Amino acid sequence: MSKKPGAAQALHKVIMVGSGGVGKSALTLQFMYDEFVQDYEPTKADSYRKKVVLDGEEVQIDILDTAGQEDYAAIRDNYFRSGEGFLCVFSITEDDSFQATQEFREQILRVKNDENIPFLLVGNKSDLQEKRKVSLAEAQGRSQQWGVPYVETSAKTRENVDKVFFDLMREIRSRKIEDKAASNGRGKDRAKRKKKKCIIL
Amino acid sequence: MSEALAQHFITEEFTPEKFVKNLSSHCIGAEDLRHQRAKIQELADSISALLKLNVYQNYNQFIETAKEISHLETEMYQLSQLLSEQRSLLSIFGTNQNIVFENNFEIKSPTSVEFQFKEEESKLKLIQLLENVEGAMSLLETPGRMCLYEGSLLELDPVEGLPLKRIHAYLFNDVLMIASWLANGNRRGPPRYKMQVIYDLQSLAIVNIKDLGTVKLAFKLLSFPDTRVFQCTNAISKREWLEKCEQAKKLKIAQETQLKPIHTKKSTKMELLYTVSQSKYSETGTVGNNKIDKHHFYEPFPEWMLEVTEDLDSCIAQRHFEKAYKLIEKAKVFVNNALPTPQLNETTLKINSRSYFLINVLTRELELSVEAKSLQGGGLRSARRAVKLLIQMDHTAQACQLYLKLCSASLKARLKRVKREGTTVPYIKQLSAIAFSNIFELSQEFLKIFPQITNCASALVLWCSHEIKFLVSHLIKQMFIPQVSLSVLVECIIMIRNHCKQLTQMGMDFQYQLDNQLKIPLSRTLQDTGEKYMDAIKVRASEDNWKLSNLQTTQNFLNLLAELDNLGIPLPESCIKNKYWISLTNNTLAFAKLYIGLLEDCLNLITPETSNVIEEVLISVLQIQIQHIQSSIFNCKFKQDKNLMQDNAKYFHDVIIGRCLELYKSVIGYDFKKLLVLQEKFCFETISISNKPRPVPRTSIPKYSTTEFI
Ligand SMILES: Nc1nc2c(ncn2[C@@H]2O[C@H](COP(=O)(O)OP(=O)(O)OP(=O)(O)O)[C@@H](O)[C@H]2O)c(=O)[nH]1
Ligand SMILES: [Mg+2]
Repeated sequence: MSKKPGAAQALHKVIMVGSGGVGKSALTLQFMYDEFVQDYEPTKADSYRKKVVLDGEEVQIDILDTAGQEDYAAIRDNYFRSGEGFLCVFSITEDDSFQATQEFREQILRVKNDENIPFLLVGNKSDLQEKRKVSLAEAQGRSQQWGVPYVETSAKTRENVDKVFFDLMREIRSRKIEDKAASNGRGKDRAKRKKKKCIIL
Repeated sequence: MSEALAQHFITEEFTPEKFVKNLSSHCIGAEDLRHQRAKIQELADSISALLKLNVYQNYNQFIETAKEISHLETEMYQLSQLLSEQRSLLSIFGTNQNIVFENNFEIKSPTSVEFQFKEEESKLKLIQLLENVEGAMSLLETPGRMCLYEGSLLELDPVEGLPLKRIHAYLFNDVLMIASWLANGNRRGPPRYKMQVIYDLQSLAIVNIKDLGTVKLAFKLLSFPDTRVFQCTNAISKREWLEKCEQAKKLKIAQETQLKPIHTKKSTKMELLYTVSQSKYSETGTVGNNKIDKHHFYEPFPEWMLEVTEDLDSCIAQRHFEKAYKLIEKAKVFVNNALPTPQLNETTLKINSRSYFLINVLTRELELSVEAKSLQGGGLRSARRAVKLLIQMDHTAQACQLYLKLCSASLKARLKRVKREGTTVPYIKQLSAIAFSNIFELSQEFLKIFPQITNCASALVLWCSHEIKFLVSHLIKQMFIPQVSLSVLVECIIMIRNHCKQLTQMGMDFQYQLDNQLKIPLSRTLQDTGEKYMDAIKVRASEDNWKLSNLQTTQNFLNLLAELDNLGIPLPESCIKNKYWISLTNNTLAFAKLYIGLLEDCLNLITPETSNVIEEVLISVLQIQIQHIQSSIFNCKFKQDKNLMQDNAKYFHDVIIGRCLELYKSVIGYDFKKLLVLQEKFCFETISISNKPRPVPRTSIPKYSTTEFI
């Protein structure tokens, strides 16, 4: 649109987490490009950027699609640090993936050191009701325990796909406003500080 | 009966006098005594035959064992070569960690020479790389650090995606270094950089940017709190960066989980070193009673030591390698006697790097001369200089390997100059003469350069073996073609064997290897030749009309006599009819000449490996002629030629076969058994049915006279 977007344009950083094959990439691609990918190709770490209008305000969303595969578990911390909000995805057709969300939640809280980090529990593949292994009640129970919203999505039918991303962005936005209110103007300084803190040793 | 007799002789109390007395007292009359004598004679004969057989078997066994030993010997050489490579690898690896500064980091076990080369190469590369990066020399201190990938990237603003500046990134096995470009001014040479930041791979996340608006070919580094975006110049470069980073991270994580305890130990050791040298500093004010300490520690570096790295650089650049080596040695001595200080450490590192560099330059030098196409004698001579230095710098195995490669290249170059003109024989002669004399010379030269290094001697043996194998397989391709007759082949093979034998002067015997290589093609050729002869004999036999030969002139006659004498198959006087007529047919004469030629060729070639084939060929060719003679005798068409046939058969039996047996025995050392059987059979079936036996002259075959059968 414009070559020099106003510094005011917000950038919300979302991270997709969850076990391998639950549909993180599928959700991301559906959100980004309105398409559903049938093939499964394990992700390493991909990032996407998109301009969206959030409640009348033009903002940018930065999505980091991470690896669900176990062999990448050891390096997840590095990715999680950069996130402002998390979509913690499991597949309702696979109980293991639901159990794994507990671990992801703990790791995120540890890395971010913040109980109120914007976070959504996402039960994906809702189009596959006949194969459901995780009951709605079970999932809702966990989300209530964590104090986060629970949404069921389908990357295939696009059900609730926009909703989860927009809901999360709203949470991120309100967190940022809170932070700003708490320590006036700090958010901007932070961005500057990043560039200066370069020389180690 | 003879068994019982034999028992007599082997009893312990046997005495000849007693036995004879006993015998004569028991015997009645001369007839009985004669009978006893014959019996004893019989026993003696059979025993001597047994003895012969024994000797033959032992002889064969001896040959087999000798071959076995030869094989074992080569294997031992190979083994010793491998061991020496391993050992030198280990020692190089030890010094690799720190050439000058004796510091025992854990020694990993390298598995191959390649590995060692790689290690050194990567170290050297690292040094060369970091020399262009200001402030990055400290990266050298971590042993085993390797640069996996490097390249220039364009840094983008992580939020807006706008270009910021060009940077140069280096991916190591444990860290990623970002360096900014330094203005190079108008100086020539490689671009210079300044180190900006080092990211530990463990706390670094690499993200593939799939979509960032219009920005393409970018990836992102996350190292809290930094987020940095870099753009590659093309898709390949991006893919490589991502792949290499991924690999490095995985490796690093795998290692980290494995090597934790060792790692901490090492770092405490390093810390200890520093605290020690620091405490030395703090003692400056107090009066130390350690004089040596004081002397070495407080004294600043001598001037030459301050300039040592620059001097080394210029020496190497000007190819004053010996001087550079001496300087390194001198510096080593200095460093070993000095106490560790940060300054010393730094200089040590620098000297180490020059030492690697020198080794690398020297190896490269050798490698280049190997690759060089036009190898004159000078190539080897100049290589000697590099080799000597490498030996001095404890890189003997490497030097030896490269030198031998050079020898191979030089040999190849010299052989290439042998042009293939004219017939096979001159070419083979020239080629093998040049090849063997060169192998000989090169080996002698080698032994001069690498004296008293047994490991290298085994490398030489292997090298010779390899070269000879290669040469012989080339020669085989040239020699064993249909156009080359057996006799020409014999000439060539004898020559090659003689050349090969010369190497035994240096204690290297490759004759068995040569024979082994020749065995298969030679057997095939022998069989082919045999078949060709048989065909020719058959054709001639079908045209045989059994006529006396008329030589027409005295001269012809004398020529023939001389020729047959020469071949060892003289014409018996009984065959001379009158003037120029002889009672041998043209067919017989032709066969005789042909066969003796074949026989001589075969016997010239014979080795234990080929003796079976040779015997078979000799026998089957003879059999064709025998068939001819026999079928003629029973053919009514030639009824009136019976006498002539008898003469020919006898000549064939006595002279030709006799000569064959004689020659065989004189060359091989034992009887040609199969032929003896054949001869007997022929005599029985053909000659004995003759009604008019005549005495046969035995001019040249006293041993194998066959009259007793007639
Ligand atoms: N039916 C159905 N299939 C889905 C849905 N979401 C994803 N899939 C399929 O599930 C498989 C895995 O999807 P991905 O999005 O690649 O999984 P992922 O979570 O990114 O996996 P990793 O990259 O390994 O962590 C693919 O074959 C998708 O087509 C969905 O909502 N419904
Ligand atoms: Mg994925």
